[in-house]
Amino acid sequence: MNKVTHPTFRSLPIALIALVAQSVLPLMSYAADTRTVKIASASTKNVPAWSKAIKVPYRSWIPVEKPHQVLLCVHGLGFSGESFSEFGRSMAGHGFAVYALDVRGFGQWMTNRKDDRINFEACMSDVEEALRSLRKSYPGLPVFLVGESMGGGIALQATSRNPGLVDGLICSVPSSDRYAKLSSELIVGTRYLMNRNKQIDITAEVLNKTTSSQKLKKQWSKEASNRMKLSPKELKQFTDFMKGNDDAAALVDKTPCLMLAGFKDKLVKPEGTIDLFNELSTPDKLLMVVGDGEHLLLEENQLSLQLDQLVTVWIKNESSSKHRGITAHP
Amino acid sequence: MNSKRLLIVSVSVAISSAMSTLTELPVQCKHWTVEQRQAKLMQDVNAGQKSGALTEKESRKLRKNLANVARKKARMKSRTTGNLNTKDDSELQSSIDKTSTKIKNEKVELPRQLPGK
Repeated sequence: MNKVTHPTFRSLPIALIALVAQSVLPLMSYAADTRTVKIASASTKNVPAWSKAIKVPYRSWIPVEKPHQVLLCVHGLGFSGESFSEFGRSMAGHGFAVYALDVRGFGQWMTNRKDDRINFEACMSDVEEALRSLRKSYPGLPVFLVGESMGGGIALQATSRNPGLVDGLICSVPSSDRYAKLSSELIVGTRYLMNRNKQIDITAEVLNKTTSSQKLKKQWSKEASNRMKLSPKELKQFTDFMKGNDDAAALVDKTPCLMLAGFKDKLVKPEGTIDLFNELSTPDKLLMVVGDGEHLLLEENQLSLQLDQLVTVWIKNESSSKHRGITAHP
Repeated sequence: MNSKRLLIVSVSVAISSAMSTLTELPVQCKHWTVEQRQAKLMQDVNAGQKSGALTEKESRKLRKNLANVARKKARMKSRTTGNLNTKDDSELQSSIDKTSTKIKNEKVELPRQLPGK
């Protein structure tokens, strides 16, 4: 199987056409494209981002054979679409076309001064545009939205707003119910009052609680595409945005949903994810709590073989189900 | 003279039969289900936010209202066998009416907030 990675800034519709064309060609290895293409200005201050032609940075992993399902992945806070590399390769190996976009303020957006800060509303438009582009490029194929942590929240809210564009949702630890939430909010609140734009290093807060492995912590903190310094203003935006997940879950009433949580998660309480699962209105839902799973289950090479198989089977079953979104039973 | 009378009679018969057909026609109005209305209102909120007619805060509040309707519907469905009875349906329709009115009001209020107006 050949896979293609495209860590470039390009307009998704144009790039999709190029990718489909490339996937037909017999590629011998990864095409690690390091070109730097300027992003078209998508100002997010005075005019709504959606009124402009949105250029979304993304990566993709496409199987050589024609895919039967398409996955669009959204990463967690501090990471980028790059964090889905292993997941993307593995899923492409199962025959899925996988795309991972960068959330505003992260990944390739960091190189653009206009969009190097978090902007959730613009991000929601990016996801919507990406979903539309994927549906256009792969007519008739079911499109699944995959998100982890903050990305899980984004995926959940995007599905609640655009249920017609999402055929299935995979949401890993989307809850805002964190451990030591009050103390971290107090710190952010104090810093916000002092200087809301002065960046705070969240490496200790995020990485120490995300994994117990020292090796992984070092590796993630050194990764250039990761961003572990955020302003109090951005962190407040993040907290406010994640609070909307409960309502979003209630609004998902037809889309099939697979929700994941790590039992050993030290950042987000698994109970929070279970509460969100209960909030989901759709009867076609499945909750999986991974016994030895920490905060990340899909990103940064944390996908276990067991979870890999579960996700694959779930996607394939939902795609062929006659009762998709109505019942999880056959 | 006879042919004139015949024409008048036939025209009047035609008019009366047409009138009776019209009065017998059932009123063709589209019935919107709860699901259809929920989907339409979400689209309205999304479109309102995109066009700038609704602020982010207003949109969030309206989505919260829609979420409350969805919660109410889920509770009702769990009480029964997954289907809504007539009473539940009308209760949900009335909740949706309120949300719909709120959306309209929020959109209408916007011009007053524009600078220079």
